[in-house]
Amino acid sequence: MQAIFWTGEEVAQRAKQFYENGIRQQVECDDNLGKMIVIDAETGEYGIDKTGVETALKLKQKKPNARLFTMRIGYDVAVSFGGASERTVK
Amino acid sequence: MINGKLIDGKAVVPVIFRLPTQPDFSIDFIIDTGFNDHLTLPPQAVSAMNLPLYSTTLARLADGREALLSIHLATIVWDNREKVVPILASGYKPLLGTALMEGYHLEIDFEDNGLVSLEKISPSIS
Repeated sequence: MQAIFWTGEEVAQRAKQFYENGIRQQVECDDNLGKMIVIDAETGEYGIDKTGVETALKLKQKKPNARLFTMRIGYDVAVSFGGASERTVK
Repeated sequence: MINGKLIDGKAVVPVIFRLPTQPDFSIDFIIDTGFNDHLTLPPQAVSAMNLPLYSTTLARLADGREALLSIHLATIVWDNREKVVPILASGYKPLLGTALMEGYHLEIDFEDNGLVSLEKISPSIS
């Protein structure tokens, strides 16, 4: 099915698959920990910057209907309320 | 310098929004130091303001549950400078988190109408 019809859950699931199957090994280094990675859930194309804004704008400019997913490198969740996030990479 | 007030025990500061083809307007945000991103707005406000959807992300809520939130982008005027920031569609009160306060010194007088201020940390001379 075309990406434009995917639910948020599907977008998340596909982006995480790209992350686990290749992206992770390339990006999880000291320099990147805590930065935001934005992944195109359809193609696996990604970019990294401090807030994710720059990358999201770039990917959207290339493909206005891109379905993007944002993660924080080395952490279990990108965003937390009440201070509830854990670092997963030491 | 950004100035706000303590209202009902909450530190509140105004944030100016600059949306296309609209005059600037300001929304009061509650400072939340347990929130690690920039801003949240309730989903109804995000749709009323027509903020474009940019991404989806996984968040951990204060009670430990995980939730998928949509990220929208908006141009704000922060400390007299235009800045494009991610806005999370979440909750029912606008929250301002630690990512937006990076590089700032926060001061709060915890009394009715107490002064709340955010001041840019001056670079240390070394």
